[in-house]
Amino acid sequence: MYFSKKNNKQEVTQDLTKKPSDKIDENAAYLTQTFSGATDLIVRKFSAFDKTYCLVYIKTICDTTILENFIIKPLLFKDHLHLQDLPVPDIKPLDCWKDITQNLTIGNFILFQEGDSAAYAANASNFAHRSIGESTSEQSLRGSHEGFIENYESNLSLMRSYLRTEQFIVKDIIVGEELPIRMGIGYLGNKADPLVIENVKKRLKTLRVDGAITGGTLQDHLQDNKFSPFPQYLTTERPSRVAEHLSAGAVVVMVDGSSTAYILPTNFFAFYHAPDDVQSPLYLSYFDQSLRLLALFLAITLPPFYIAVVSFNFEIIPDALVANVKGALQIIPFTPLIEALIMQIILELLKEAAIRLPQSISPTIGVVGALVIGTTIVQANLISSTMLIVIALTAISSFVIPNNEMSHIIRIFTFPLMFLAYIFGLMGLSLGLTLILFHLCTVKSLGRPYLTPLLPLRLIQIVRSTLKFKLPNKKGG
Amino acid sequence: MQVKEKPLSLAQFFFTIIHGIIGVMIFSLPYIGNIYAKNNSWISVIILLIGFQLMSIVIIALHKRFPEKNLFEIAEIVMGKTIGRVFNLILSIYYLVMAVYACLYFAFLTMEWILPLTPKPVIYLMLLIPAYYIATAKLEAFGRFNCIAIIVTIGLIFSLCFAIPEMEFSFLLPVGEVPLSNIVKASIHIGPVYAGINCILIYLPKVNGTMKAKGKAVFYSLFTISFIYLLATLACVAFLGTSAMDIVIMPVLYLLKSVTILGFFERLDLILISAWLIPSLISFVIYVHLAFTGLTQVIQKKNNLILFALFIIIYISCHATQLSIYTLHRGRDIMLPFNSVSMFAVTPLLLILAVIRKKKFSR
Repeated sequence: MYFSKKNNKQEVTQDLTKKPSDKIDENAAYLTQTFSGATDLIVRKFSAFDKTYCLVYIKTICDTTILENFIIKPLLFKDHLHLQDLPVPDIKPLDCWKDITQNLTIGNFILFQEGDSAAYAANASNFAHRSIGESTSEQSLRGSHEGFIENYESNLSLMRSYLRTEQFIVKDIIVGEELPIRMGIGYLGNKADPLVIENVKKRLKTLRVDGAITGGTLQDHLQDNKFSPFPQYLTTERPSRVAEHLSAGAVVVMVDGSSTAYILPTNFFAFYHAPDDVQSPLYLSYFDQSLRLLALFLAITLPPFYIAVVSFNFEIIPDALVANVKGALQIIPFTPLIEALIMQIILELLKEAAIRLPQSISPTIGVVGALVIGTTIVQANLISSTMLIVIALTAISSFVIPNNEMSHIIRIFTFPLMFLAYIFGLMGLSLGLTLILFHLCTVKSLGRPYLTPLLPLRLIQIVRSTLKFKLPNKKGG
Repeated sequence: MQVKEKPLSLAQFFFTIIHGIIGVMIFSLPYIGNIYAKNNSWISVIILLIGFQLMSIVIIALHKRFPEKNLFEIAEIVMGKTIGRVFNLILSIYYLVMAVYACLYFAFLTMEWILPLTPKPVIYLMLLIPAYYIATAKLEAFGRFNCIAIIVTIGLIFSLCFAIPEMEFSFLLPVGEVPLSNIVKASIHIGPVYAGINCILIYLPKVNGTMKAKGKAVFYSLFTISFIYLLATLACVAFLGTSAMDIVIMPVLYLLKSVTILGFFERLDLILISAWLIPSLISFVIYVHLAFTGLTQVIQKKNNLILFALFIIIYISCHATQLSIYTLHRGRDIMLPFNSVSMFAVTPLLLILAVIRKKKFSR
């Protein structure tokens, strides 16, 4: 992005709203010029029964078998065959260059006939993509192990296998001018709120981007509160999760070229539901969810609470523990805040390194983190053992949170809370938590309060979700 | 707070009233009662409970006549524009002074118990900055926040329960040892802890519900508040006794200081004071909102700059006041007649005027 510059020589001269000509040579020349002589753009002319045809396609994204068997062969061997009667599904006439070029880029072929100004397009796409496997970021012990891939059609196919109902509707939107990207809005017609659907469509249509659509690009458009650190849409790579949320009335946005689906509206508690929850018995599910909420509480409050207690309010520590804690702190040259910052920064560095390292050497991180840093840093009296326990417990708690974005946000929040706790003690921690809680009360996702169903209290919704609402059954497969 | 078309729900309204009235002064409530009523101070609280339950009927009766109008708008309607505006101005200044008092009280509590070395201006800002953020937010968010904040109040009651094994309930007896006049005097002096009661008439027009449901919410919220005050008083008298409470200015905190949970967790007072930032913040914001609403009704202009100016005035006033327990006691004594008038006279006066002048607002 830092190296792109406007190519002044190649100005756009073609008027893409114009209609194609009835001369195939002119049309072929036009397309070759539009695609700047791209080597994978194939222009094939052939004649049969006194008619001349021109077949144009991009060979790297088209299935040539379809073209040979269902386009060229029938035209060569059957007389009086109209182009619209070719044995391919979905063949349609196009009358403007913009549609023609767009169809070519999505894997369709274009067929011209001498003397006919209409172009005919049909699907022969064969984009390269990986096979469907489990999502690496959302693993589960039970239930479905399928995950989305980058191919839009495959993702839609997965969704259809989970939602075998006529109520599952997907509407496509093309976004972007120079690099159009296809996005789909999926919902269950009998569950989703029409206002929510319209809202999502409106937001996506206002998306003005020329480049890859990333989560960050979508964030500004899908979120009500752009400045809130809390994500207001749920990202997932699991079709089972999408089906679960669509059954509850949510809307999903899928992007061609991305394996991530965006579910909205969402709420704060949705980020603490794991894929296993719907597979487990009720009591196990309750236990796990309670554990995650406890983990959230620990992740956000434990380091600042420890700093507040050892810096300001030692009296809170029970008598039995005072000697241990004080003893551990006496020989440490740093203040508790510096200790905590060092450990948190090391933790973040280890985490980032673990993501970037190739799989073959990623176990090294465990050795480096545990032995080298964990043990040695305490033996060198740079960090107290109690601080190490606190930070380790915080890290484990933050990783218990199923959603990566939320886990990241919670870890980031500990930094300002630690500073507040160091300056104002428990009062500072209380102040920080108050601000975070109040901010959560102000956040909305597509107009719905973020803390639903807790605030405003929707008791029936809580009971339904904890007793697990019924999902449409995935048949076969 | 920005007023949005979406109204408060009944639950949010219920908790908003509770937090609008319960503030920092709960910690010294038993002490104030003990000064006049000694071991019968709990009877003073019961008298206040009955009094405010009756007041809730008056509030609802007034709201019934003007369902879409808040306190200040009603004042202008029943008193006429000029007198109404003067009345509103006086009331706004009163609530501004109450906000200053609440800020000073919070600062005193924080400095005495948790942060003795922190400069006073920093402590004032610790309350004012988040208060400004809350005050500029939408009312529905504020309502939701009040529903979460009740956890702190429940935590207080929960903590008091751990002192039960060490309580001597005989300290509460005998009933009638103190003359009734002293008990009533104690009620009058404790009364200012209900100073935020007029916030009910500010929020009632924004609540989504039937008149009956709103009336119930008001009735039960005032009952809950009185019940919490009663619990605190009973616990302190039973735990500390009247002799100790003569010298202990914040008996609730001393009680919590002595309580141990499961023989392991100590100094609950420090945790509770830190957590009590939330109710203090909410009651402070409500006082500011009362002042802001009154002022905007007087000048007929609504602007966040006015709110910001109020915060600046509060900060300067706090800074200019010498912070000590004597200042707070003196302030309480000076404000006592104004508190009594605002709590017991304003609403009945408006209702009487509305009835006499046959003023009613129909949709």
